[in-house]
This record gives sequence, C-alpha cells and structure tokens, in this order.
Amino acid sequence: MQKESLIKINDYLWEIPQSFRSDMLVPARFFANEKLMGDILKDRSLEQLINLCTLKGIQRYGLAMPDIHEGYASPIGGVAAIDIEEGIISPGMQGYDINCGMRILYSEYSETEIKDKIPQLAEKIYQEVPSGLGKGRKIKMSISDLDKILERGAQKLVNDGYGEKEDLENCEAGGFLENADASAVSLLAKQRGQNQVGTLGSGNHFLEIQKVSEIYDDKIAKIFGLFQNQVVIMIHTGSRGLGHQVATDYIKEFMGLMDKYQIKVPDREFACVPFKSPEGQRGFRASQAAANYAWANRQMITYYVRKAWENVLGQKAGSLKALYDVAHNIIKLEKYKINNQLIELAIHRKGATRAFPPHHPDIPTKYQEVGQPVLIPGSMGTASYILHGTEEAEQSFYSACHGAGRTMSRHEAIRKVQGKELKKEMENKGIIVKVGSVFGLAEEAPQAYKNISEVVEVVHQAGLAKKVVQLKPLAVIKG
Amino acid sequence: MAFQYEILPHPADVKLQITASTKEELFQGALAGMASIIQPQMPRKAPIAKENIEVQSLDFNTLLVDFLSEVLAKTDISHAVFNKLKIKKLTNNSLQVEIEGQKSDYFSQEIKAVTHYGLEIKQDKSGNYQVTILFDI
Repeated sequence: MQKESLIKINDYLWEIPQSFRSDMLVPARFFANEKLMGDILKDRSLEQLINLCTLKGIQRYGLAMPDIHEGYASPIGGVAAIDIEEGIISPGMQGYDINCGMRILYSEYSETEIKDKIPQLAEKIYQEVPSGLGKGRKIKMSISDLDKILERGAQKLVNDGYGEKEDLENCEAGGFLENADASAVSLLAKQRGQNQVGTLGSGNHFLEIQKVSEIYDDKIAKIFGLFQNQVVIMIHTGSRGLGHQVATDYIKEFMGLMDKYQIKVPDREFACVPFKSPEGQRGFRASQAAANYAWANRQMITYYVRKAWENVLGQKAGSLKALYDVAHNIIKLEKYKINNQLIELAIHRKGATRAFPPHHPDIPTKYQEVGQPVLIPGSMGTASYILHGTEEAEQSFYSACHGAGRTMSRHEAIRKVQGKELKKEMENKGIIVKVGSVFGLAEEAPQAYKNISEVVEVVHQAGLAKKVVQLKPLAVIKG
Repeated sequence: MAFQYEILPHPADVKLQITASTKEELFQGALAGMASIIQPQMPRKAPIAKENIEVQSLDFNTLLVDFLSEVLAKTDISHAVFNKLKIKKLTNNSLQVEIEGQKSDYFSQEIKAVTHYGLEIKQDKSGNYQVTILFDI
C-alpha cells in the first residue's frame, strides 16, 4: 500500500476509497497521525483492512484504530459493523481470544501511604493468580457449574460470593450477555475451561499495580473515583483456552458452510455464515458464552487480588472498587442510526475498545454525564491511560484503540532484548517485576510496541475518547 | 524422519515454515515445530503423555490446521507438550494418529490458535512439501 493511495480526511483520519479494489463493499477508514503512518505502511495491516471491507452486510466503513497492526483476517484494531438482517457473523473478525479485555480496580490509598507494602502485594498477587500456559487452578470446576458461568458470566460468581454487586454495575453488559447458550459450546472447549477461571495466561496478558501519574480532567477523574498518586490495579486477560476453542470450532464449521451460503471471503480466517442462519445464531450464542467466561475470569481474578490485598494490608486494606471492565475482542449487538433508521448491528471488534458516550443507556448511572471509562493499557513498563467516551466516537461505532500495537515481532524482540536486562532496567525505574519467563518479558519489551502516548493522543485528538488520567506501573505481574 | 522447520518473523504472532519429504513427515514436522514454540526445551525427566486424535476436514490444508488445533486442545487439557506421532491413517481429508509427548507444569509460550491465514501446502519440483503456518499467540 502506497501513501498516495490514501485520502487524508483530517490530521487523524485517513480513507481508502471503495474504488481501490472491486470487491470492497464500503470504503476503509483508519485513525492515525503522520508519525504512526510509517509503522502502519510497513506491514500488511491496510491490506487486511481492505479485506474487512468485503464482509457482507458491512455498514458505512471498514474501520481501524490507531494501534492497527498486522494480524490475520482483520488487522488488530479492526471494527466491522454488520447488518444482522443481510450480513454475516465472522468469528475470525473478533479473534480467538474472545472478550480479551481490561478491568481496573481502584484503592483508597496513594502510593506514599502503602509504598513499603507494594513488593509484598506483588508477590502475594503473583502467588494467588496463576499466570502462564499450563498454569491452571488446582480445582477443576464441574461442567454443570461451568455451564452456569457460560450463561451468567461474572454474575454467577458474584452471586456465589466472589465479588460485590457494584462489580457487575461497573462492568460492560453487567458482566454477562443474555444471548449466551452453554449448549452451543463444545465439550472440548468446556474441558479446556474447567480449571482456568481465575487465571491470567501468558503472552501480552498481565496484571499491574499502578499509580495515577497525571490527571488531564479533574472533574471526570473525580467522578471515576480517581486522584493523584492513587494506587490502582489493572487486569488484562480474556477467555483463555475455552474462548480459543470456541473460535476454532466455529471457524472450522463456518468454513465448511461457505459454499452452502455462497459466500466468498478474501482470507479463509474470515469464515462466516449469515448472522440470522441457524448456524450463525448458534455461533453467536457460543461467542456470547465465551465472552461471559472471560468476564467471570476477570471477576475471579478480582476476588484473588482482593484476597491478596487484604492479606498484605490487613485492617488497613479498605476496599478495592471496580472502576470498569471492558472487552476489546468481541461481537456485540448494538443499535446505530443507519440511513435515519435505528437498527441493530453486530459490531465485530478485534483489538478495539468499546467507548460509549454520555447518556448511553448501556452505561452505569454514575457515568451517565461523562461517558464510560475507556481503559487503554500501554506496553509493559510504560504508561496506561483511562479515557472517557464521547458522542464524537459515533464515527467509529463507539470504538477506541485497545493498546499500543506491536511494531516488532516477538522473535525479533527476544533476539534484540535480553529479558534479564529488561527486568533490571525496569527494577532500576522502581518497577517490581514478577514474571514466569524472562523470554516472555523480552517479547513484551516496550521497544516492540508503538509509543502508547502517541496512539492515545490520536484517539484523543480524533475525539474517539478523551484523556482523563495517565497511569504508571509500580509492579508488573505476568506469565 | 526428513523434515525441517523454521520460525519466521511476524509483527504480532509466530510463523512456522515446515519442509518435509512426505505428507506424514509434514505432519510430524508441524507437530515438532509447534512443540518447539510452546516449550523450546522439553523437560529431561517427565511422565510420558499419549493421546489419540481423529480429524475429518475439508481438504489437506485444513486437515493440517485442524490436527494442530486438536493437539493444542490436548496440550491445554492434559498439561503436556506433544512432539512425536504415529500415523495410523492419513488421506487428503482425514487423519487418525497417536501423539506422544511429556507432561509439563509450565510452558514457555501460550499458543492461542492455529490459523488458516495464507496457509497453502505446496509441493516443489523434487516432491518436497512446504507450508507456512501462522499461530496466534
């Protein structure tokens, strides 16, 4: 892709016209500034974005966020809004890690008040929350209990005493999607999920103890319950092996049905069927069930983090409140005005965070005036951000970026960065590092990612979400 | 068995290229290559794990992906890394195989999925098979 083929809409928005390739059903649009453009043009992400524009039923534009980078099927950072009457459902358009997402818990303390306890806290959390592949929990859940989690997500765990009612209020979709159906999930997927509720996993998943390092909007920070130097906990994980299996199962099944439904896609990973077909509906219900599993996973991790917190801080502990929990790999039904008619669309987000505006009916009462908290993790050891939803983000079907976005392969990162040295470097900056594998650490080195502040600035300037606070890590826990 | 595998660079995920002289060896090479991503150094002493897998697929390309996906599921469930196989039956769209590996409590790399992205098994002039597989990690 040459830059000359792109139309600059404004300083932060670019378009690839529908005429660029004959099979595009809509134009492609992506958010970037000149600086990020260099990385975007280096890989195949724009070619993949064009492929996304061929999906049947796609509305307005095929979209990508400023952290766009090459994946498979859709680029990471891709958003496709599909008409459910005429269009398709594509598991590959949400990715294998269904409802990979973020949760933030906030404490009552500033860094200075509990600074001496942070190393102990990091150690205790590392012990309580298994990370890394192969590290499941010791107790295997029964299939019937798992079915309840698949249909009731975080709500099932809160009802069982693993959290507070407020955890559900401050969670996208209240912690579960009603269309979920456990019977649409294969036994193999369930077997993979039996001992993984409450586990982080490895790769780019992590848990961080952070502090509020900068406040951009005092009023909204206050509404979010945030103050300068406050200690918060950020959790990044998804539906683990269960979600991976659900996506694998339905991509395989849909691939075999493409001829039946006379659907052609430019990449087999987009395997899809009509959304309203019996197979499409079953796939949708399975996807919603896997999303519920992910919310339950983050809820169970919350339970263990609180346990560690209380264990280390004792009577001083106070509460760890849920700020918000939001998915960035998901297929959701949302309503949008298309040709002056409010219609339900299947919003496929793959590496894009939902960012609902003020007064949206699906966000908690306490955020009604300011929009939902939009949680954006940075690369390891760098800054993360909390933003708030805006009405302007209607242009992106209320979606924002989901992170920094990779620029260097994991292999290259391991070759270029010594895990042990990186650990030392982070420790010299005062960051505690609890990690299962130093290879894993090197893979996630900040050098392997775009500059998160640059990416978030584009989101802010494009109006997809507005900055509220910046967070800096005090401790990193990962597999 | 005559096969070779190599990990190729990719911005976000892992690409594995396998070259083999027969279809059977291609499957063996893919299995060994995937195991090397999950666990670059297999534990010296660990209990042996064995599993039987049967796969039916659309074609030979998807058969390879479906086979590796099944292995991945078994890896997750039995906490084992599988790197050897005994093929009982192999056609262009079906496979019956026994896989063997070692139990392991901790893996170096989590593979989320075996993708079909750009996957095409090709045969060169001398009859060798070659394929590149993209793993979502």
